[in-house]
Amino acid sequence: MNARVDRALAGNVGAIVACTLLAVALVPTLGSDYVIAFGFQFVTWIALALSWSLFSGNSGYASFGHGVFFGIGTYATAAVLRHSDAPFVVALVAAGLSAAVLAVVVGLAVFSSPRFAGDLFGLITLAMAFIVITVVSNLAFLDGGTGVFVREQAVGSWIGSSTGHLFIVGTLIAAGTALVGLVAASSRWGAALRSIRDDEAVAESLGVPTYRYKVWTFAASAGLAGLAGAPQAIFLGYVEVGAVFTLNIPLLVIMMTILGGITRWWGPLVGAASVVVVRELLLDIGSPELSQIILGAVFVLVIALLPHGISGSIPNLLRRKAPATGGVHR
Amino acid sequence: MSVSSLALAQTLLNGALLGCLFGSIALGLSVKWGHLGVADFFHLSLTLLGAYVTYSLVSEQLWDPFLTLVVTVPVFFVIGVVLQWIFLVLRAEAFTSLLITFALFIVTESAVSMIWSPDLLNLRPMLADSFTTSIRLPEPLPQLAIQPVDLLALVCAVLMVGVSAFALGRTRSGRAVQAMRQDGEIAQTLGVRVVPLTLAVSGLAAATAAVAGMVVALRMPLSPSLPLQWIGVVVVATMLGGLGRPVGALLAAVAVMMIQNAWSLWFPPQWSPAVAFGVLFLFLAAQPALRLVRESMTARRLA
Repeated sequence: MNARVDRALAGNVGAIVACTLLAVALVPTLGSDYVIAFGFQFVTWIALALSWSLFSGNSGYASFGHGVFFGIGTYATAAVLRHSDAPFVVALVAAGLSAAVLAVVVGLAVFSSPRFAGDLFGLITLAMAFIVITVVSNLAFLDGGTGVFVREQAVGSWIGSSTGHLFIVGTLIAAGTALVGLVAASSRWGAALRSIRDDEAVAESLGVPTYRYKVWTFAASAGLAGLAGAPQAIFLGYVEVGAVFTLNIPLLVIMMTILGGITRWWGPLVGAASVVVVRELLLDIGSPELSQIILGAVFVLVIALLPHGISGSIPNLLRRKAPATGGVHR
Repeated sequence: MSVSSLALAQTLLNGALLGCLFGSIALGLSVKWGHLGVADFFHLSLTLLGAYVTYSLVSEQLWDPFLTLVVTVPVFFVIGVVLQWIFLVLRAEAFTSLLITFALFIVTESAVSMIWSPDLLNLRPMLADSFTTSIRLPEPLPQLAIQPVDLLALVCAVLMVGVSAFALGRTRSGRAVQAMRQDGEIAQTLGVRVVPLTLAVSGLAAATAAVAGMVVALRMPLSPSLPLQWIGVVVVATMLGGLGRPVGALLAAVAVMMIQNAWSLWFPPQWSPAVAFGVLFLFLAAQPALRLVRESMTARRLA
């Protein structure tokens, strides 16, 4: 890495740390529970979008299974709190690990054959969702079809005592995810993933160990989504399959990333912010079905009109003002 | 748990016939995915829409169920053409088109819920006895019975799949579609009119959803979330059957449904939704071993 890249990386890391500290410091000044709850959802979606982009955005292997990893994190947290006296940190680790382990198992199988690239990969990850839903619904240890009350398990603990604490945890997870995404974008790791996206066969012939990179990055992406699911379990209070494993999650995550764009590491962050605000505004309509229809229509329009997303469109706008220097900036 | 051979035979027969219905739904998906490169989630939504339109025309306008095809087949053909035309205009790559159809899939669920309500709607009580009275099989299997609607599903599946397989394999247009699948640009150079052919294939695939939708309306209670229950069998059948192979998709759907139905005889039925995906994941789980074998064979060849 040259000095210019080092400076840019240090600047971005500094910006992430500063934003995180500012957000955490603001918690005591935000009196309204609504604002803090909205903030918590906001940072959770940011973590999800950035974690999805870490693997799918960089490698071009679009996963529809991100909702599953998030849901597994939520259920792992519920299970740890329900069946043990372990502190939340243990549940957090269990959430991240269980999602990552599932991703490793699936990744080892799916990435072993080039025939499962592209849309087949997307559908396989979707299939994974239905298996996990069936397993969770039928295992009494996890759910058993009745749902799990998490709030009563968290009562008396630091994490369960305030939405502000959930916001702090969510913000730290989002910041950690952003840092991982930034490091990936600026390192050999990201370059390897982008080479897979550009032409996997060429990357492999040039000596990039694509199989290994895909499996481990898929696991990292899933693990981060699992971490994001941990505080969500306590936020929801009552965890049930229908709400946790909804297909809306992968759809929204993909929409956020496409809207924000993948040409910059912060693209998904911008996309997440935009979609969360639009969703909040749509709540005023009063009809969940109509909101869903509008959101779907917006999604189709975004794909049609902004194929490179907001972060990808900014350089195009700048280029109109000044001669382009070219290249993809991370 | 011991299961009588009669119960097993009836369960397998029911599974095979239900598999025919899923094979009909998988047909359009398999053709579009295999030959046009579009993994079309929206095809499942079209099937649902076909079922709901059939329900409305039969229950409110008192139409004969078969007559509804006069409306749904041409309308769905046009929808299929328009959707493919949009993909062509957008120059949508495989993943982009997958995303768009996924979004339309979710939009349709909400739209159906708004138009027809999220409650279960059942056409069966309004049907004539000829649709609902079980038929005993002739000798030597008089103990086994089938529902007329299942027989209809079988006939529709065999007809649609048979015609599609014949058209793809034996006709000039079918061979043009095969050539287009191999390499669109070369096919165009050789005189294949790619755009009209692509639109026609998409339209015909959507038209099969209208027929499958009619059978669905006659066969089961309708709810907006039904396609979520179909995704497993339909996608797995499409993938196991081989993309773009109608007969393969039908046979795979029949096999998966027979396994799924038989599963419920020995194991808790609440686990059966995972059976189709279990079959798929067993298939996937074999992939690392296959890769190792392939790599070692290549290494041996190069040595």
